Amino acid sequence: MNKTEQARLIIGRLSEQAEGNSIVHRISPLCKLFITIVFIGVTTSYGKYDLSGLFVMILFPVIWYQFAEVSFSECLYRLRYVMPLVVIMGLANPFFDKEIVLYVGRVGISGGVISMLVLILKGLLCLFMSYLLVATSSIEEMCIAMRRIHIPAFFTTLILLTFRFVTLFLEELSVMTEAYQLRAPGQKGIQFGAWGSFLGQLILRSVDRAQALYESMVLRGYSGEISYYGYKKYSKWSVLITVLNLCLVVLVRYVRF
Amino acid sequence: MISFQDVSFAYPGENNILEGFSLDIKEGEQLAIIGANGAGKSTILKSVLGLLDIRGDIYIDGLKLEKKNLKQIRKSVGYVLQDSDNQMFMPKVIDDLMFGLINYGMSQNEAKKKSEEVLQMLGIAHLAEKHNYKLSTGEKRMAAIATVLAMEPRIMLLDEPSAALDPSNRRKIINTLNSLNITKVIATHDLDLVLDTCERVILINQGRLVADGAVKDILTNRQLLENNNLELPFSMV
Ligand SMILES: Nc1ncnc2c1ncn2[C@@H]1O[C@H](COP(=O)(O)OP(=O)(O)OP(=O)(O)O)[C@@H](O)[C@H]1O
Ligand SMILES: [Mg+2]
Repeated sequence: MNKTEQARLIIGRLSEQAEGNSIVHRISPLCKLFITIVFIGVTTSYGKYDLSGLFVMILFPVIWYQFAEVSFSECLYRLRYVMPLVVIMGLANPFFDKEIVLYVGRVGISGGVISMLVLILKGLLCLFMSYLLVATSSIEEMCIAMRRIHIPAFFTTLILLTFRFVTLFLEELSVMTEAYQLRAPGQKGIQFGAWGSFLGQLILRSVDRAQALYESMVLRGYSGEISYYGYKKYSKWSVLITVLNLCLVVLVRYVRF
Repeated sequence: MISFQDVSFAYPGENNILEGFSLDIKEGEQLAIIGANGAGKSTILKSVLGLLDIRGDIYIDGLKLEKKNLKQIRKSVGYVLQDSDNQMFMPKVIDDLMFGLINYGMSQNEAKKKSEEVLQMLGIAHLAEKHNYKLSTGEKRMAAIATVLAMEPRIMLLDEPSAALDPSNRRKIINTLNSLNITKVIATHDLDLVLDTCERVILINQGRLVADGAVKDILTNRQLLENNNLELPFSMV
């Protein structure tokens, strides 16, 4: 199996994982979207030196991952290319902000270091919660949820098609690399001279297929509203959990013990 | 039911693929379109759905093919694509079947029931919960046909419905098609399928209508078929 084939299967697996049957999977997607947005909003609202306050927020991903039965190590693995970017975002801080704000034993810690840690932690927390949302709801459900809160159909269609397009692109890529390798035994990867035509072909093929798929959707009455029977309507307890979560978030954020 | 009036089509900057194509298809007729690879069969089917920018006119069920009628036309015309990979876009087979039904106003429960019935009828109920990307080519084809059948179209356009199917599934499709009392247009190289399902056949060569007549006349005309890069069907040899 080549790399692209693997990537394709990962996307397939991600959408299969979204069909799990944990408590979290069964919460209505709109509620989950709301919970995630609130979490991100509150997490980013912490002050830039408020490391101890922010620490408590770790509680939420920990609990949610438990209930969702989503493997945290798999999450780390999948996000291994994105996480460094979050870390890099914070790295400049220690250079700008050198004033010592805290002593640990004899070692002075500058405000820059603290704010770097805060920024990194915020980034990671938001990333983990967003991953959880994706891992427990399918892309169709997410788009429907977004339509419910009146995000224009244009955007949700765009998101849906982008997601499908990436899948198609990877599919075409894996078919083409396979075809190439069958006729170029012993070669590792694709010869430099063939890159241009290979890439051109790849893009044309993916665009053609995306076009054809979109046409099939339109032919079956697609007009921007996604109909998906797997969509879970609000249930009383979805709302209950959402409200509970909201209270807990507010408690943790604004009430100091 | 479907009427082509002097239809021509070319992809931008290229030669004509259809040229002065005229044809009348009557209600309830079973028409086969045959012709060599690249003759323009798929292009003819696509043009009916308003997917191509054609010159000339097409009327479907009395409605002129134009933007304001598209929705209504597409509702009554079911189209099975030549490449099933391009037909299925939802996560699971059952989702795909229900997609169109819900879009046209069916409730979820009704749509689910209807979809299950169709899968049952085609003998592929076991595929309902399968993921599209994991289906074999033939399974995908059966599922794609099911998505269209579920919509209960008044006109069905099928592009190579029997390609990639094993004999038993091919037979199932033939029987299903024969049991449906609607207008059908089938583009295919499977001339034996034509013998089993159609009464009338048209022969296309390079976008032009070469012959139009009863199946028993055209499919027995060795000279005509060979001149157009085709062969007599097996059962006629
Ligand atoms: N996207 C495209 N751009 C340019 N030319 C195209 C495109 N699609 C098809 N053609 C050309 O149009 C002609 C007719 O194609 P069409 O798909 O209708 O043939 P067909 O009779 O269905 O063939 P087959 O039996 O192989 O399915 C072919 O010569 C083909 O090269
Ligand atoms: Mg074709």
